[in-house]
Amino acid sequence: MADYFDRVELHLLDAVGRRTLRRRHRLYDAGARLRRLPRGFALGFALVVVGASAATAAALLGQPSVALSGRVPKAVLHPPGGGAPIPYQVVVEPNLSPGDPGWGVGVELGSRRLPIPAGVLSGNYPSSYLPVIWDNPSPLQPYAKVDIEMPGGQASSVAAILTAGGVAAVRFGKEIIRTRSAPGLPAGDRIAVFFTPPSLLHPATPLAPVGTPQAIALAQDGHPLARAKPPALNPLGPQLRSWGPTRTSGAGEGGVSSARPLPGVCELAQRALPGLRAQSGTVISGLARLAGAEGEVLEPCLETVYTFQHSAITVALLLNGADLGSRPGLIPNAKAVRGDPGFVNVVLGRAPGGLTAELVAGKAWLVAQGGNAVAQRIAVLRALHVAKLDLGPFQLPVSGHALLRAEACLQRAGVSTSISGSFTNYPYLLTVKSLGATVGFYDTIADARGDLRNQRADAVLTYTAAVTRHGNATISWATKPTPAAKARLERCLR
Amino acid sequence: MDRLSEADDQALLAAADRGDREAFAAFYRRHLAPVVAVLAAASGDRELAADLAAEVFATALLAAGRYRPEHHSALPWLCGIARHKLSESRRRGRAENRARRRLAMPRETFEDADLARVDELVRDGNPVLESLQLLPSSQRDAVWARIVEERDYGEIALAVGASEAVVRQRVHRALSRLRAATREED
Repeated sequence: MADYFDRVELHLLDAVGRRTLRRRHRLYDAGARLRRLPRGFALGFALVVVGASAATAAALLGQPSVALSGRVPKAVLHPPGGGAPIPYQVVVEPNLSPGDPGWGVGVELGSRRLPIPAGVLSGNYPSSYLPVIWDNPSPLQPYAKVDIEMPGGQASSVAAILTAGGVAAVRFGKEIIRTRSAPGLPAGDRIAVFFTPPSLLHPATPLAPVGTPQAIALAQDGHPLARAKPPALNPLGPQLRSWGPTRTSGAGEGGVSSARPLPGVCELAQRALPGLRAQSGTVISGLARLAGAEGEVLEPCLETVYTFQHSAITVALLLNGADLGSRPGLIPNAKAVRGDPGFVNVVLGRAPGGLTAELVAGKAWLVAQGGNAVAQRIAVLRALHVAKLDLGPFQLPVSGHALLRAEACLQRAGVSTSISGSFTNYPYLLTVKSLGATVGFYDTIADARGDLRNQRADAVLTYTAAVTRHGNATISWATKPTPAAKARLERCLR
Repeated sequence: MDRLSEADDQALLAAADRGDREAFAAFYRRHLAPVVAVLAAASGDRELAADLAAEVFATALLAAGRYRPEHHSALPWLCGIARHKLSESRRRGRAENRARRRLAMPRETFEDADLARVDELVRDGNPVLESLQLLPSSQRDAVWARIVEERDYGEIALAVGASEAVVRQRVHRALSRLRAATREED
């Protein structure tokens, strides 16, 4: 009997044939429509289409952003299966994952009867040093866009770029699109929404191909906007930890196999609600004000996925990223829920489920996203309360300070170092090849051993955070170093 | 079948776009294991990995005519689609199936017996790709941008809002980890 992947293969191969047939049919239909028109009208129509295509490229020059929702002009796009204008909608919604504050921007095309995929850009917020947001953590697609295939194998797109309030226009390749403000945006931010002809954008790929135009923020005078200097990055910043029953198998950094939520600066407690179960989530070990944020920005400090009534519902706690502890700004497009005072709801485009929130103690939005009904999300929110909200400034662990001191000393001694990642209360391992070679700081023994083999290090030592609480590191050599290496490294590390 | 087994990915996708079913079958079989391995490693969920693998190949079929090779293999492109689908699925709280809907493909039911095939595919999948998905996200993106996309350090630094030195560190550490993982496999 064929297994799952064999059956998928058969469906795919059926689709290969159907797709080719449909495309031929569509091309034939387009030709037939033109042939049915009177000769003069057909010529005029053709000129309009050709002219519109050319004009699209030229008209983007200095063109104002179109609205956040509307219809894609027929002349720009030819949707599969029909000539009716396609509705589009740009949706801006808060990111819910700790460590990734900011906004997700999505572009949706089509109606329920003509589903066309959405283009989504998730994460980050416009700031004085990065006035045009870029995707994060995959920074390679600089805009939210969705492509529509056109006859001839080409695609045209609707794109959206969220910008800081001071950005008057965005230069995208050779084109300039003037930004606009709108009610559906975070307060203080602007947006450029535009249609692109096939020649401007590469085909739909998850990552923008090399050569994709960059979005440049322009000031009112048309010159590139002066950027503030980015804030210094702290390599030992707050630590993210994900938990869940299977997290160790694939969550990457900080993954913990646990059926219970991990501690963090924000924690939720649950009242009895039959069927409500926490399944997985992410916590953060510290919060910091978001430097350079110009518009409103919400900073997630906790994310937990619950199951309830056979639905997955993501719950998050969102703070005012520009001023932790003060009242957070409004969630774009949020409307009060009739009959449930204190709750607001946001319809997220055509996505099933939406986002429902309530303000907690004037300091944070407790948000539930997903599920299948507002009432379901409200039931979940009512069953939860904030058990911990530690808004004190993030304190670098003592071990982190010691490591930073060690790094400077090692560099002065001519040893290159590489410190990154998250440092809390774990023992750290250092592999040492020899003086002058890379010294790595690792979160796990397995990581260190891997590099030890890889670099054929001379020695490996452990560096225990527990002892650094007293100001000194404990170093124990797992293998025997050369005397010179030992002396110089111990001098730095003690 | 030799014609197809020796054809490069661009040729297979171009032929599939013209309606050559065997070409797409060859493409599917060539890359199924690493795609499933990547998805399984990134999600930790074998059933979700199987579901999204079908979605990844449906997306690849939709985009076949627009595929522009930047590397010898289309695998980086497929992995990019896989990562995008997974992140979109997490964001929406359900597995993506838009491409399959567009192709009018039914959603296959996943049986317990299929788990063994997923495990087999994961084993066959490229261990380096699996390791890539296990890297911290900052390192994974840096190494992807630098090595797969061949971007300049300066360009990546600008995009992620970090210094060039930080990006170089991330790439260095990621490569060290990948090399170590590969040797462990050996």
